[in-house]
Amino acid sequence: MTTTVTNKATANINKILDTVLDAAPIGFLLVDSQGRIKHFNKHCEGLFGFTKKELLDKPIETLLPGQLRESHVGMRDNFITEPWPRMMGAGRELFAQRKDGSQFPIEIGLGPVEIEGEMYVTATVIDITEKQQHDAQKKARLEQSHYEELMQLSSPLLTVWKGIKVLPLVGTLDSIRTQDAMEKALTCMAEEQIRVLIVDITGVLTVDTMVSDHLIRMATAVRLMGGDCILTGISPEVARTVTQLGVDLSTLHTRATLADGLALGIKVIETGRGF
Amino acid sequence: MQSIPVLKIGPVLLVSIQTELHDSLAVNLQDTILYKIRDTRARAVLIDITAMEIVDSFIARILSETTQMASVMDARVVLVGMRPAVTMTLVDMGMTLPGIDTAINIEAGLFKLGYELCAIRQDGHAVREPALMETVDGQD
Repeated sequence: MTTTVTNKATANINKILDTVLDAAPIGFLLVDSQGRIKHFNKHCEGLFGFTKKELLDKPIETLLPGQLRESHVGMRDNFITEPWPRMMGAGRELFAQRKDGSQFPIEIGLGPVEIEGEMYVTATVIDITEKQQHDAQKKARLEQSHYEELMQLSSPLLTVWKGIKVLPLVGTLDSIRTQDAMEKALTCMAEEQIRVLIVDITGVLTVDTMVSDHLIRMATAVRLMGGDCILTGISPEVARTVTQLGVDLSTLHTRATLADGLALGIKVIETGRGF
Repeated sequence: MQSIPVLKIGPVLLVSIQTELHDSLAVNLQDTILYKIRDTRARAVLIDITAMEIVDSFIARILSETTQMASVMDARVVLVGMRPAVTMTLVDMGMTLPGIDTAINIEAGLFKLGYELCAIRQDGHAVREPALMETVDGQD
């Protein structure tokens, strides 16, 4: 009597389990210790393109890309001798292969289970193609918006007088930022017929030979365009470093403060003769 | 053969390059400018390169040389209207054209040379155009 009840209960549980597994939106496989596929749910058929008949009792390697099949046999044996539940392939990308030979990225969870002295491994499989595409797009969008934000922040051009623009530089000056600032400043000069560009470096953290070189390039470009470039915001520390580094700033017109630079710029505009 | 006109406005020669300069044309232009300086006894040359989209190292050298040659003949050269893209290419190539005078547009160039446009009143007196500074500032 008890046995019958237990059998009936087991049958019920099996029925429920099968229904759950077949309805699940992920692939489920049961593999024996020799790597043969013993059981799999409906989702797997759609995922890999095989029918039930084609896959049953076949080696699990059937579902792997050709170049991985051989090495997988060894890894599978290792797992059977030392089984513990885990996510497969932590930290690297896994691929599966469909019947038609196409490959797709997957995530796999492995769970060892012992049934009547035999080792079996359950594997749950998710196709992550869409997730990967989504992640990549999201990452690209984020990077782009960060970069644009930084670029906008890094080089605003301020009108302070007719024909005079101020370019306040803040933070660290690298070649990309300098190039960007230079491009913007030169384009603006051509469009608005700007005569004087004041570059203020009060907010620049360090002025070394590299940064000085960038500034000299910028001043040269402004001169070639027919404008005059004034470098302002030079602190005593910057003056000291630059001199000790042996950087020759004599080709630049420099002033200690923005106010002095502006006064010089207005003089240039009014006389119209440059320096 | 194609040539670039060199116009005389008072003591100033105006050279507006409206075509891409190939090498022989550039050499030719240099000759034309120097002979014109001698013939017209011009004191200054405005070279307008607003229309030029490419200035390679050869053209840059020709322009630089022309400036020096003109200065030996006591004429001052001002290079006008270099495009941003051209400027950046030259700076990247390290061609900084030392010693060349530049201006953002022709009017600013004239001003730099010490000339400016005047209006002539009916009584024959010249009146300084108040509009000049406006145009220099790009407000016209």
